[in-house]
Amino acid sequence: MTDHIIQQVQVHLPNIPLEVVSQGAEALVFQTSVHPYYSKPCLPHQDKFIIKFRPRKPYRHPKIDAAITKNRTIGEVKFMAKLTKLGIKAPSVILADFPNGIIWMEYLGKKLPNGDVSSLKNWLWYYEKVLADESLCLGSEVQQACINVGLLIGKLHLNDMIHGDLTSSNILLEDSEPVLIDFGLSSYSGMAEDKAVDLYVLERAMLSTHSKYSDHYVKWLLQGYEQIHGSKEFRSGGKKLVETLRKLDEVRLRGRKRSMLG
Amino acid sequence: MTVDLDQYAKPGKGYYLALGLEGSANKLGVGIIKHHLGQLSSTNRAEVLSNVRDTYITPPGEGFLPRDTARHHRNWVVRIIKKALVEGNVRGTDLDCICFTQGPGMGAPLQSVVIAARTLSQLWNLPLVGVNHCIGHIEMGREITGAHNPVVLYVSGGNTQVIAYSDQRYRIFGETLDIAIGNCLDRFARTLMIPNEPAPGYNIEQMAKKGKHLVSLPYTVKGMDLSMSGILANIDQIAKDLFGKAKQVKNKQLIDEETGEPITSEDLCFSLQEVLFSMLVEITERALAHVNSNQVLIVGGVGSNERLQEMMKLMIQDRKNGQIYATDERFCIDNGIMIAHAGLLSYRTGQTNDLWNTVCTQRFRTDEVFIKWRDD
Amino acid sequence: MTYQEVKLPQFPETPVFVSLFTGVSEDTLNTIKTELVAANKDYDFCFLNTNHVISLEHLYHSLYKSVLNHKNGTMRAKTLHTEIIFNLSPINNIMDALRRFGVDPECPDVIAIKVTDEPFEEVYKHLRKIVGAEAVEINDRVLEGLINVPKVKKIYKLNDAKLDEQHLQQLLTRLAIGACILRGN
Repeated sequence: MTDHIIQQVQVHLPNIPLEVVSQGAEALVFQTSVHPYYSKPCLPHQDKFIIKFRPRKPYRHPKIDAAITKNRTIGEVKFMAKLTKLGIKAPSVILADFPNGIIWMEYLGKKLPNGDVSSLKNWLWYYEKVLADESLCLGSEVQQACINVGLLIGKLHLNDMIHGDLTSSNILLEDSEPVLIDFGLSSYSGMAEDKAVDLYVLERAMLSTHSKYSDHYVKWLLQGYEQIHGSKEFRSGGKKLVETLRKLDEVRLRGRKRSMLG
Repeated sequence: MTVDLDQYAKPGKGYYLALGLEGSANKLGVGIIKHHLGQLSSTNRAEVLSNVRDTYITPPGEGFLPRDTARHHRNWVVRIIKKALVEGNVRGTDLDCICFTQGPGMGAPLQSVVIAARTLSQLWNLPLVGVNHCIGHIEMGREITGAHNPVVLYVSGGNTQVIAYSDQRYRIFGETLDIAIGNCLDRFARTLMIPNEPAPGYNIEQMAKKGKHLVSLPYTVKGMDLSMSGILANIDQIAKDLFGKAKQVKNKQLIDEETGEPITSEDLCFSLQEVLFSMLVEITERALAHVNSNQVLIVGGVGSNERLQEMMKLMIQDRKNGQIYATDERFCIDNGIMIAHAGLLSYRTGQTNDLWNTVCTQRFRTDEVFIKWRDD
Repeated sequence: MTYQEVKLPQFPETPVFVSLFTGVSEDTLNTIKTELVAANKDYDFCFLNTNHVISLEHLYHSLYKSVLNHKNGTMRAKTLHTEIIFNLSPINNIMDALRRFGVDPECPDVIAIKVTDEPFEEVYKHLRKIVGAEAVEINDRVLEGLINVPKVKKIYKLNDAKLDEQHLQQLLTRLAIGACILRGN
């Protein structure tokens, strides 16, 4: 299944070596060692790059498919460019081919001692399962990292941007500084409900992936989230925080965004 | 599945019989189902003894109103129950329980049917089992197709949800943010004055088969959910522009860019289906990826649409061991047998409703129900 | 070497000549401009002022996009050299791009680019005659010193961006390339 998709993308990327990193419902992510146009880019990693590819979907009418592929790719690049402009850490875009659904972006993350990439998930799992060290899991390093993640998400929300798919796999750690990735489901919204759902999705994801200590992690996340709302940088942060947290309680009770209409 | 389903079996009886009553929308259905003792499996299937239905159909251009629908159900319910008993060769007193749709659905029709259920329960001295309409669809779909743990796409006039089972609940992964897909199609059928016989959605499907030009419509998937009211408003406007009878609207002709041919109603039906179904397949695919599954079960009236099934098949083919399950119109359109089946599962795990606890409710979320008969 | 030979990995058969000249006289620049408009074949180069060329990476992005479009027949500009100028711009208007990024008599430093099979030594000799000067080495440090930061911020709409002065060239490159990628969308 993956092979014919790789063939599809290789047509648009001749002579570019591709290594599959992950496969989602909508896109494939590859890693490559070749930069498309410059050998010494202004990026921390100069020997590794990421290519995200949205393949054709055979079930869609070709016109609809072409429009979606193009618009989603544009939307994702726009979102990432805006984040960079706002100083919110996200991968930088290197190149894009909108009609073919291809985005080249910078490689982020380091290799953990066990070889996995430094997503929040892998890092916590490393402490939880590989080292199985509770004092590390509940120590100040993890605490600070979670607080930083909360600060980052708070900043995102204060700019009325919604990630749309917050999980511990979509947060990378570059030297304990968190970076958000994967904006395929991202959107813009000032509504407390949408921000609450964004947080709720993360909460649930933490619970299911890191059940043992997730209450601590989430507590620290929210701590960071609250902290940034109090910052002078953002007007009426306090008010927005109250609204979002109130909605979060509602969403938690409901279990989902909306009550059914029958 | 090692839940004991025979704790409440009547001594000396090797099977259970349940009667199910469904009337949450315009279909009134009564079904009688038989479960033999023991776990349900490929060698111990539930038996459909009867499955009778009457649909309240309104003239073209009109939808069905709660009050009229309730009247229809009241007029037909006794007849349908009698027919079901005769076809199933069962007497009322042979039954173990009376199952009814407790919700979700339209208030007045639900009410009419629950009154019939309560009456039968007192008449034959049988316990009542309230059933969630969606759970009925899901459990019947699983039983008929043999799909054990698929991601379920539930699409009907009143519901649009993507569901996956986890920890004794059918959890909603994605759903409509405004109207249901069946509702969207039905309303467009009214705009075009398409007949409601046998069902407006069926007629749109037949017209769509003759359409070929794709009209541009908004595509509104939002994460794991989708929205359809904007698309409906959009296509309603296009239809009004093309076929409007209002004197001040000059009949505009919409031309397909590529071929120069005029756009027809068939083209509109085609375009609407293509965009709505693409969205459904997309959110289903997202759920599949999320729970790491490769099986899809489509339930609900809109599930009988062949184009939807075709698109879903195309999507699933790209996945390892991908499989799609669907039932025919006997079971995917609202019916009484699914209520009997789900209700009987509930009954066998000791869940019945006391009389005072049989109030119907228009809002009844799929994930509110505790699935006691599964423990996987 | 006072000129660069750029080989884009995907287009090894299309070598690109890149050079930088500083302190060029206003008269010469005016002549170049006139001859370009007249489409004089002797002046078939891509000339850029250095106000807005933030870094080599910024420049190479445009080179890449332009050669790709040329290969695919999707260029918006009439010639490959004009396309290169256009792909440095975040604004969806070719005339505007030529005006802002092309040769500017008020900017004495100019980049000259040619996509050609001709031997680069010959190309350089010819250029030296036209420009009347020797080329200097073109690299990020030099470019950084030549850009007009307020102008860059204005054209790429970066006045409200969070800019870290320590890594300015890096950040501006990233933001400018992003803006170019999203041009028209």
